[in-house]
Amino acid sequence: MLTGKGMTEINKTIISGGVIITLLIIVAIIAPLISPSEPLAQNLSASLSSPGGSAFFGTDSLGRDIFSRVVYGSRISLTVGITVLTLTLFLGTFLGMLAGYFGGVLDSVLMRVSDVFMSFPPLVLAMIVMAFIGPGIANLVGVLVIIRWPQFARLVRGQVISVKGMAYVDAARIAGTHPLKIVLKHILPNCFAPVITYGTMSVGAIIIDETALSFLGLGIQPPAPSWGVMLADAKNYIAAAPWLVMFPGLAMIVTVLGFNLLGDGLGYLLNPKQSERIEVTHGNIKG
Amino acid sequence: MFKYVVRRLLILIPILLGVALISSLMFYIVPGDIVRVMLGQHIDPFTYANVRKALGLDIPFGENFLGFMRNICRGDLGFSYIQQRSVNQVILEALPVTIKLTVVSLLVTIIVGIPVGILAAVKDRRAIGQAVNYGAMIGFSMPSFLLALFLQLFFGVWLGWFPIAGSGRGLISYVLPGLAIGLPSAAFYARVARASMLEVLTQEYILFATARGLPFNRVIINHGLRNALIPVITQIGMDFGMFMTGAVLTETIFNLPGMGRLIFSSINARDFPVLRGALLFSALIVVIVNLLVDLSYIRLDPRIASAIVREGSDADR
Repeated sequence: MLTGKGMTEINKTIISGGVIITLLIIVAIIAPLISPSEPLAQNLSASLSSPGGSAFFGTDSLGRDIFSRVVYGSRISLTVGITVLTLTLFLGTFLGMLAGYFGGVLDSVLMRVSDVFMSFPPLVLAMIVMAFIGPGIANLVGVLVIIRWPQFARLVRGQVISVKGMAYVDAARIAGTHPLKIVLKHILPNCFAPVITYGTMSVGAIIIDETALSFLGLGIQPPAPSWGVMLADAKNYIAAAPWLVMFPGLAMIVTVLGFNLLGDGLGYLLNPKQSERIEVTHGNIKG
Repeated sequence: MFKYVVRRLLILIPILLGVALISSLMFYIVPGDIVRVMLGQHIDPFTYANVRKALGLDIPFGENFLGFMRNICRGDLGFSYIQQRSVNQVILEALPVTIKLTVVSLLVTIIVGIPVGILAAVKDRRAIGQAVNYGAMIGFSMPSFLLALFLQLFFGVWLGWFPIAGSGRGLISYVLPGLAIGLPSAAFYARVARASMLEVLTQEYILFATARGLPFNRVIINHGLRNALIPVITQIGMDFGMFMTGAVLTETIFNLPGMGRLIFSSINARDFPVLRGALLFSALIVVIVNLLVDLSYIRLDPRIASAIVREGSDADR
């Protein structure tokens, strides 16, 4: 039974999320075709011009075209979001599977380690590591994986434990199936529904993390057109040039909303029972 | 029950030790010589030797760490050579700001989130329920630092109702930061409260209460709300812990001198003793609050209590 949401509405949610993300990916790919100028091209004679006229979204203090920068910024956000998700999925699934399947000391150690990671506020942990290892996109990706793996590991572990007790897994074990085959063929495929949902929604959260760190000057560095870098710059001109905040901010909301809608819809589709669905905010940077 | 509490308290020890260990390792793994990183390249050799000694860098890590743990047990978090004050003093100064901000944020979250969620559940199939549903989704997709900038723009710059920075004007200064942190959380609460209320409303005792002829509002408030709020209360506890560790971005944007900004500035200034103290303090608050949440959960939901009692008696055998 579907509580509260009919099938058509679930489809609507998935489709609207999917459309937003598809459009974003297209925009990111064809960025050079639709931007009127280079994202880094300065034009000091036209600095801080308001939206409309020749610059659709206005220009910043160095006369750079905001529309082009927002469009190119989508490349950074999507690349970081999807790369971090992929790496986290591999690491989290691997560790969660080990902990869940083998249990015992290994499980306790892995879970205590993840407890320690999770008792640091995620943003703070990321800030410290970034301050030590220095900015840059590769470092940023690594740090975002570090702050996010515990949630995936725990999710997969919980799933593995509940699936491992099922009769067909026992049957496979009695039949003498190799443990590796049991894990890969019998257990993992049955753990993936919540992981897909959580993963999709995490992309939004990862993009927020990236923007937040770049905003603080610890992630992507200026002059690269990351939305976080643009917002950090915009903060200084909030009274004089509000469009500097508006456009990268709106781009970010739409992107995160797209992934959240898709994840939410998938959550209903893959697991219609309300009580077992996961709600995603853990690990999101708050404040 | 008592055993459960003791076991939970014992689990806290390795977690806090881990946090203390990692934040102490910072002194060793930071690239370069930490004393020079902290106090600059050109300090005189005498000060250099003194600070090095005071930080315990002239003795092995294990010994240094044990010394630090001993001091912690006495409630001493160390000394900041950059600020020339004790770390305890620095943290105690930042704490009131963060407590005020946490209280305001939580109030916003609860006052907005729960009623909206209940309303959405009760009016599920109507336009208002749908509107709340999508509104919450948008609110939930908006990170608070972005909301902070938007609020500064609308209420600070355009309308001029609230100050856009500083903590100088009493509680008024906390309105915008509180909204920035509270509203995205409220959107999440509304979703949790709605989902939980919808589930409760399908239960038979609700049907029975309605069949007995109780007024609809009473069914919702007396019978529905009590059970529907359990998941929300867990979330309130977790958020309390999260907010108390300081809202780095919001405090930075609004220039509030709380824990979040303290952590950010101590990272930037390479003030490691303060950073280590603040991290440990934050972790302590988070784990204690999480423990309290779990315990309150037991009081709210008798099924959990009985599960724990069963588990405990199994272990005794």
